[in-house]
Amino acid sequence: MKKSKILYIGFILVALILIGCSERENPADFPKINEREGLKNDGVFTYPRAYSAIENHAGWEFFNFTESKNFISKIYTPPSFRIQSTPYPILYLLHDFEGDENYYFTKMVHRIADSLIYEEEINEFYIASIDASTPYGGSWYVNNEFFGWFETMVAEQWLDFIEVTLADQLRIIDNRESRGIGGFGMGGYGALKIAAKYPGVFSSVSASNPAGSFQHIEDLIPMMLEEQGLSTPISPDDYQDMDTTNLLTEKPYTLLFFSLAQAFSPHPEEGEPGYEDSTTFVTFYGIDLPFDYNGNIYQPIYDKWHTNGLDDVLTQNAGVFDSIEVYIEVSDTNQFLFHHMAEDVRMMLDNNGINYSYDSYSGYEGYSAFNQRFVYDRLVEILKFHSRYLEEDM
Amino acid sequence: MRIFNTIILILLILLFSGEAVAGGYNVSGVGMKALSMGGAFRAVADDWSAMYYNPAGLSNLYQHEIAFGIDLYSYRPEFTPEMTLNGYSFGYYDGEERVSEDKIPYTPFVAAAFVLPIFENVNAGFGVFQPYDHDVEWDIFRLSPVYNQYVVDSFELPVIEPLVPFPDITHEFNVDIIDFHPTIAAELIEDKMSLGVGLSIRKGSYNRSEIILQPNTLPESFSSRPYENLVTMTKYDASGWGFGFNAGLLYQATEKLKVGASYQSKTTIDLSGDADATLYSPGNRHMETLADTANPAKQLFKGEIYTANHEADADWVIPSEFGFGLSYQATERVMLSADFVYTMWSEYEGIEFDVTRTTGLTEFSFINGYLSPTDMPEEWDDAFRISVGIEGQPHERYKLRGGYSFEQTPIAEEGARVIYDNPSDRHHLSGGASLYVGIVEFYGAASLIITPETTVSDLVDDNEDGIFDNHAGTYKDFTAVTSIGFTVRF
Repeated sequence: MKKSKILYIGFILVALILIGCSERENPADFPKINEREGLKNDGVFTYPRAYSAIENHAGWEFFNFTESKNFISKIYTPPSFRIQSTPYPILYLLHDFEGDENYYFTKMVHRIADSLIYEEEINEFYIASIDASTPYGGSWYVNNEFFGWFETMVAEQWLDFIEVTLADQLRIIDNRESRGIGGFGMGGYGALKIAAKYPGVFSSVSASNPAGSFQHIEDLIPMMLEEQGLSTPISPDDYQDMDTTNLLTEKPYTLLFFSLAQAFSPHPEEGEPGYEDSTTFVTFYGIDLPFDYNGNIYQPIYDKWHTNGLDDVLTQNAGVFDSIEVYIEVSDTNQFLFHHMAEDVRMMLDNNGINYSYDSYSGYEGYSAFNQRFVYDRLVEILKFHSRYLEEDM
Repeated sequence: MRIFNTIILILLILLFSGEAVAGGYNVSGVGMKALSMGGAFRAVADDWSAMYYNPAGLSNLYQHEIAFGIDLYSYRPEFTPEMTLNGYSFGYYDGEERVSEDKIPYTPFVAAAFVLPIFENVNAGFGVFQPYDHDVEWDIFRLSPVYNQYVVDSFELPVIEPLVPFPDITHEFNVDIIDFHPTIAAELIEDKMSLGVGLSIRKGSYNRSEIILQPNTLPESFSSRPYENLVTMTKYDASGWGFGFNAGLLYQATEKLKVGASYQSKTTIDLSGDADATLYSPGNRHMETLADTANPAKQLFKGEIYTANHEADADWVIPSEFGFGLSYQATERVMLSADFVYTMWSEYEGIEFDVTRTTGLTEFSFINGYLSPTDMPEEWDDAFRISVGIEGQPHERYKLRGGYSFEQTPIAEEGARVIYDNPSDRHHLSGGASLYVGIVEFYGAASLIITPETTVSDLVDDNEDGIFDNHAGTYKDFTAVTSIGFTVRF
């Protein structure tokens, strides 16, 4: 065998080895898009504030929360906040039942926004949230003699605080086209209601599973009684002695009924209509429940709840939505039947000729869209929707 | 000249052709001559590697032999994870082609075979070789920034807290089995039939670490996405010894045709070592604040790393194997061979470590629930391999060889994991040459293992423990094996 042939084969063998030694690299990992020049944090600021619409209400005194009646607001500032002087649009996000001002930040809305901005999927805008919780889980963004004027607090005082009081810290574009509002569940209900009742303030509204109808509440009564260990007929003593320990973790249906009751059916004060009716009055908590001792709907109280649904407000303010972009999304299931309530809201929008875009979602095998499980994923679509309509600084 | 050109062509194909992969976690073969003939060697078995393929072949040696060499494995797999359910991701680099860490595992061997002078027609040998080897490291999972956030809980100017440090290598599998193999073979019927037996004294080392997502069992408020699974890593580092044997028969059926048969027994390696479990707890100060003191979430969401160290034992079953081969001396200078091997991979049922001693547990029982070694179920199938080979001697000073084999994968899609190979059948293409210089024969061989790109589309949880049993995604591989060595005969 000629030496040249041996060398030839040897060369190819060496080449094989060298090819085996060539370097490969994985794509770069996450860029450090969350870092903010000039900031020690990741662009989220926290502001505690006592709003006058909530102060000095009996409910708060009752729960001895007088010393911590600060309703915290959190604001996400976009990545270029400290390096540019331009003003930005703003999205107000209202939290769900069981949530507070951290609700969306727990689901990492700031990280999601940073990523979407980095990927040029959305424009830069502020995202603000506020604590609208009560000791019963949620205020339902209503004005209420007992717990306070949450609707006023959110729609007026909070916006004023963010856009006026903080004007020297934040640069917010002061026009309707640059202002959006949205929310999940209870927050979706609040967002639609406030958008309808405060015309000229918002240009886009999103509502995920908006709990804007309470027709299905009857189906949840057995669940509440079950977690209370009650069977019908309920004795008056048991009815009065509901277990309210560990509501958040162990008795979600009780928490839902109590939150709706404190929002929509606080027991009337002496001299007011209905004061004498003690049929479903839970004395210790000062609320009327919408079901009687037999677990059946108690119509006078249920009617109070029903009138707080979105039907009336949408009907009366349908024209407002001519200039508001609306996005509704509904899951295929929900622990509190908010998905059914949301479908009712869609029907109300249809009946009133209000245009909206719509999406639906489901969970995955073994992990249904049961409750708040997919807020983290849906925020992507919510932010994209608002980004399409929030007008930037011209 | 034509044969030379053919060899060059084969090598060029090896150099530039596409995807390839190494097999199971067994190596392509043992011995450069057998390797270059595609492993079709059970009825050839005429050098030291007969100890591995068919110990009866050792009786065909008429000179003492000492061999040394090394196989270099360029194992270059790629994996594009699709670890999603209904479009929801869990932290893997979904849709992004990932490559394993570049490395060149090598398996050296040394063997000696002696013609024992005290017994007529009896040869003995001792070899040290590596029938099983796998070494791969991946980074296919990231601890999402969403899983760990900057802490934002103070007013006005929150302070950054560091994210949980996370290893660059998320999946690692490094196993070696070295076989110390004394063998004896005797010619039972002169020039007709011989029999050989060998003892497999196997030293095994087993290193495996994998990210395993375990269901978060906290109530809904503390276990919604992206926290429905908690990120854990189980890491094994163990070694041990096991014993088995092999036996073979070689029969000269006609002047030109030989038949060989072999059996390798199951070997159980008694592993002993460490099994560490780590929980990468999510950092979410809000969750921590939300939970009352008695709630395990208070501890879980601190964004810390908890590791428990376990001393553990396990049985590592290396499967038995049956083989059958033919060789045919077509001309004075050309020999053809063929093999069929059936490996009882069903005997391997994964490795279950029994914990004997534990340190590093916390005072929190919920956290400790995630600090036990965790495994996915493994169920492999028996698999066969068929091989054909050719050896030609165009010149008295050198020989050229080529081979091809087809190998079934023992791994079903339901058990596909990046630490193993592409779960697809493999084609081995090999070639090599040897050159005689005095009493030394120098070898060079190369082989390419070609595996079709495979897509595992479904995430599986057969035992319904909430832990994915496999890695869904697209598997691609490239493996070239280069071998060099020499044999001295005297």
